Amino acid sequence: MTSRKLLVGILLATILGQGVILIGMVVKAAMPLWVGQSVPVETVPVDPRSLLRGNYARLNYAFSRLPKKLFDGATPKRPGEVVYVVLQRGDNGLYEASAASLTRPDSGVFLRGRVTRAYSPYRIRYGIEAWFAPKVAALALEKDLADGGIAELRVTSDGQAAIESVRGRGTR
Amino acid sequence: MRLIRLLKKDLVREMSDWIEAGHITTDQARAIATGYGVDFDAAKHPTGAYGLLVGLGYLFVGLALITLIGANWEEIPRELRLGAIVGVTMLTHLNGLRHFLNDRRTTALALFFLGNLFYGASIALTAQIYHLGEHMPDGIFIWALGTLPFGLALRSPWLTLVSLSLGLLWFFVELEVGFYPLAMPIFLVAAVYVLRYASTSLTLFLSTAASIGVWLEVSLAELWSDDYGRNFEPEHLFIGAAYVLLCKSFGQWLSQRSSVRSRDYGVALSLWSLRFALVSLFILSFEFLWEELIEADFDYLAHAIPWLIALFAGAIAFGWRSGHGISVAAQTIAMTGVMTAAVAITDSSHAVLFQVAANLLLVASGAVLIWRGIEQAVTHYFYLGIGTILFTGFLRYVDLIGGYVGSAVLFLAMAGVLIGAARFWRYWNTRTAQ
Repeated sequence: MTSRKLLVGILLATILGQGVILIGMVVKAAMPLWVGQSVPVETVPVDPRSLLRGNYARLNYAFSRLPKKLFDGATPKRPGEVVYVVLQRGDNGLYEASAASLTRPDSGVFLRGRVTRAYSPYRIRYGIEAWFAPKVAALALEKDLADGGIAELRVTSDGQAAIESVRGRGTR
Repeated sequence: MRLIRLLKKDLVREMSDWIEAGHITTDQARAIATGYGVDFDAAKHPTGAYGLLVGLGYLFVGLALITLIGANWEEIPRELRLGAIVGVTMLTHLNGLRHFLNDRRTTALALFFLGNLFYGASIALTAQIYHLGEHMPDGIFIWALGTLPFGLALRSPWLTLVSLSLGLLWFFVELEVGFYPLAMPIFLVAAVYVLRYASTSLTLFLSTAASIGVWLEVSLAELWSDDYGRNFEPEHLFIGAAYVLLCKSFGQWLSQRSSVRSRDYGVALSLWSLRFALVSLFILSFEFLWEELIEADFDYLAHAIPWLIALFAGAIAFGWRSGHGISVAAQTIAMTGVMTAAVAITDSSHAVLFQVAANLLLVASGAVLIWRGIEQAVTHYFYLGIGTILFTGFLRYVDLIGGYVGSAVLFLAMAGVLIGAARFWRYWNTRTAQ
């Protein structure tokens, strides 16, 4: 194979590689919406704007900050560690954190997150902290969620989550 | 080391005028240009402006698309939006490949550049459509990594620069959210590879040198981290100073290589190291910085010493091979002395002594630059020296040292340097005329 043919091959592989990565990103992001279990949780919004990605509301959850007592055994030592947070359905129908661990639970509903602050109260991100919307819709949502809201999550059996919808407490 | 190496196009333009005036022949002009690694006939009819304008045009096309996405493109169905942007990315790249196969490299590079912008926009759109809030740096990393093979395969400095810039952006965003980006060396090694084998690109070269310095400092902060996170310590200042000396010495060594490209890089690295050192000295000419340094605990000094030894040893080794060994060794000894004094002295009232030393060093640097500017007939050094002394004077006028008497003494020293330089210049001119 001549070096030019090899070069063209590398370029073609890179172009196709980019296509595969983009499709892979879409499939991975959409998977919880396709196969996940519906899990409603309480959320509180804040409203920044991403220069790169448009208008969005940043969503906070009670389980975004975990106290040390929620961990059964070992606690996170460094940012970036994977944490599993077990959710239990409360009397109001909304799910809340009941336990946390560094090992994956065998059953039940749980979220897979990463530690961003490695001391109590631990700060965890799950990939469900942003809700993108057009500017007008984002402003309306902000008003709607003024007293808190409910995020309808979809969670897969391995703890990956995606937001299906966000609504105010009084709306259905 | 001649700064004219960085102004080759101006040299070609001047030589065209000399040919017209009959001072030199075209063959002589070609021979001179070859000595600077320039094709005289090609440089007379530059195509760079065309490529640059096309590149900028494509940049704005890309920005328009990203802005459109940023404004939430809600009216179009999700699948159509994704299909459209992924399709546009692929088609742009394939069009670039078609131009490449037809030996239209400039157009191909511009299209690959645009395709990579679309690739980034596609990642952003996917994140937006699926409300991906987790770890946004991952998106930037995937973008940077996807761009990298184009720069490497085509040995294109500009595409590599795009990749390195995205890699740096990812590096800083990762640090911001508390993570240490382990994969950063991939971008640095790739940049070094392209610099080794591609055509000259001072922008990529200087960006790479600066990025390696930043990466080294941050990596040491990570190495010295504790339960509360990364530690940026006073020792980082020492490491930074040693790294700049290494760059300066490496630049001097490079500037003596036989390869035209190495000599260009050497001149640029030496010059920018010098500028960086002067700016650092201006910052260190204030007392409060030395007070903080003296009061610092230096908890990581034992960890920093092996790195300092390695950086200084590298600087001396390059200095030795380029015939500047004694000068580099003297600078190493002076820097080590200042570092030792800053660590050993614990009374912060002595900070003023360091401040005076930094100011005198600035004045001395200005004097040396003026002397070099005159002796080597390089106006840039001459005016850099004048500028250094004047700016030092301005800083000390608004921020006095030890009251009016101290500042008056310093101003007298500056006056002595300037008048001395003027007399030396007159003497030099007279001698040259004779």
